[in-house]
Amino acid sequence: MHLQLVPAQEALVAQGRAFGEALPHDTDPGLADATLEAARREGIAFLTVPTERGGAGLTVFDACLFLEGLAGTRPSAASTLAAHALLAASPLAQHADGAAALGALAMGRAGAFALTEAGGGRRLTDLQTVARREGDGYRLTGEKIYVTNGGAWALVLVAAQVEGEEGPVLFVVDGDAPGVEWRPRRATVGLLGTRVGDLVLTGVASLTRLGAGGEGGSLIEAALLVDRTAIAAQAVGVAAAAFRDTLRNVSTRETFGAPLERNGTVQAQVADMAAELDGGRLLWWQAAAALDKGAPARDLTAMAKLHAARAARKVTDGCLQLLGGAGCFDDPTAAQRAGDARLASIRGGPDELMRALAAREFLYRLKVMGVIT
Amino acid sequence: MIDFTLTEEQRMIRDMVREFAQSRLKPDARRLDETGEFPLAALREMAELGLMGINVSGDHGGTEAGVVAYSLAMVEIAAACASTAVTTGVTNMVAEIIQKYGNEEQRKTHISAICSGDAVCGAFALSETGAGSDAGSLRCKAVRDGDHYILNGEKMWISHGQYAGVTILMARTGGPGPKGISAFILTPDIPGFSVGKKEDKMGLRGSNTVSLVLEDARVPAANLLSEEGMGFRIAMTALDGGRIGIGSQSLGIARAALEDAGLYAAERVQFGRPIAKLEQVRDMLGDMRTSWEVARLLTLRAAWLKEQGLPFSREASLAKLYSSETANRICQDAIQIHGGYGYVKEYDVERYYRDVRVTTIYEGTSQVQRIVAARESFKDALREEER
Repeated sequence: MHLQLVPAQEALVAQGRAFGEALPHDTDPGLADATLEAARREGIAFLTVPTERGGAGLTVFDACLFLEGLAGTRPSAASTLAAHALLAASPLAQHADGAAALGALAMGRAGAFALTEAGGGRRLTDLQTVARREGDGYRLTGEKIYVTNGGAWALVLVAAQVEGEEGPVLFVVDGDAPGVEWRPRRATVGLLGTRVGDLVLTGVASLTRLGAGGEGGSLIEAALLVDRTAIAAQAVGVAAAAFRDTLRNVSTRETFGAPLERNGTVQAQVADMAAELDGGRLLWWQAAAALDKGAPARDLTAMAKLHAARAARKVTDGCLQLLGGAGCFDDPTAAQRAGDARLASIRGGPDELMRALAAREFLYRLKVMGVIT
Repeated sequence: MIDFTLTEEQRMIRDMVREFAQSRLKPDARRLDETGEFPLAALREMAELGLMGINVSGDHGGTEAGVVAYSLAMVEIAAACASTAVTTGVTNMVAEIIQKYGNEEQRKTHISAICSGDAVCGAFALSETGAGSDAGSLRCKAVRDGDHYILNGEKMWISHGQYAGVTILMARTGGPGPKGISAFILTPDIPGFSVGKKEDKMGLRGSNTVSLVLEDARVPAANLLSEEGMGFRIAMTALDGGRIGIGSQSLGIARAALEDAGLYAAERVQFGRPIAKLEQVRDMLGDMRTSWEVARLLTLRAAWLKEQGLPFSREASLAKLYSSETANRICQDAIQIHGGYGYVKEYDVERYYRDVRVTTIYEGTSQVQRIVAARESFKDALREEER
């Protein structure tokens, strides 16, 4: 057992923070490109991909540490990098057929992952995007929404249903291929510098199919579990930065002639925020450690994202309250962080789904083992 | 590297205590609650299993298994019988505090008595009618008289004070405020030291809670713990560790409630299906499970930090605050999931609800934990700026 970061891991968080500080502002339209460019330059664009496949060879845990730090300074850059590395590069690297696409990502294309479809949540076995076999390849038709890094510059992993097969399959699609139409989305709440688009596919030829029937589901599931953990880490990063800045601000202020930091009402808010935030961090640590060991992590990742996202919302909102007027004018950072944190409860599967997953796994374990730990 | 896995020894202790608690303590829990009987025989067996000095050196009969093992054991005991858990928790705390601040003679006498079970249990006497959270204002007085101190006053809310063979008691030897307080070791044979009123409590009815009365009690000067004026610091050190104990107790009660709620929801059929499949019930279970996990990790972290000899005051306060508040909500929701059955004594959840209520109050209220945790959080934020 060891429940404190070692210095090398603390350095990774600081490295993520510094990496973000050197990037354009978080709402800059050039942020996404600058992020991936800088990440390639520093050799970290693929985070968890093994070094022999051109990656940084980080564990999920260490990649999330870096993302936590980065989210503290450039939340939009963190989500850009996470989608590129964890949702696109990592599945590609796990499959021999992904080598060419991985090479293209290394050369400058952005990685994207297209799973969500319009019309509400659906099971992986019920995707409406279909792939028809044609000659040696496949042609894809369907619509995907909210694709991070989506655009003509991207190589996209598209989850589709192959006619006559069970379960989803991942296909590599060139974002610039004939039959591809992108409809850019404009973010309103948070992660304003992350590029997101909807993807309309009309008989688009796939470059590559990743794996035989049935493999797609496990590749998608594995990527989602890592992504949820990374979202939890990013949420903690955003909230921790907001919390630290707010405490520094509060410690300089007085109300009615007494230091604000010794006001019991303020202390109560601060302590509750600290408990939520520390809990979120411990939960993502636990989920990432389980993923790195290859242990079952469906419930741990769901609980981590559920709690970390809610904690980040509570903390960033609480920071706005403690900052008072100062948080609402001139410097948009505090308000923006609240918006950035807000999305953690939605992306990667909303809180409602995480809660249902946590309940389902809990009931299953209870039935099988009689106790929960 | 971050690692959440238990050591082989920690797992063995947890499993051993789970087995003992489920087979020996749980069957009696309802009866203890109904009759207010104090579980003397079970406590004796627990001493034999080494559960009264889990984090105490083997020199005096302790198990020397560490703070994490202590926390795991507390969770298991509390999941079976919350009353027995508080007795175990305070007793372990008393043994630890004598180990940390006592001299060799005091350790030899009192820790051995606690670990062997001869002392039955150890009590901790700090609160008074007028001094609760503001412990530094306590009024119980100790005046030096040759080889003795003469103690006068009354202590309130003393867990198992009636049965404890060893009691650590705080009294004022100096001026007002925290610096005038000293800690004494009291044994039941001291003249002028007696048990006062027994409280009729909402929960934890199988743990005995009394006031202790000091009427010209003659305490040998050799029973002074550490030095004069050290009492407040000793008390705060004890409570820091005690917070891990109560965080763990909260976790145990909440786990029992969560498990009962899950099993009930899986079997109870309404609208043609188990209520666990109804969205609102499922959501409650998901939230209960998740918040329990948060509480578990916060408590485990505090225990691990203390075990490593690292600062843990902030973390122990956060653990106690979050675990006790969360455990209260979990026990409340467990009743909700049981519906009417949760409101009657046929099921255990109403007892969990009564038992867990005090966890946000004793060993430092949630309000006190928030002050401690906030103070430390401000220090951390400013320290990071200096780096």
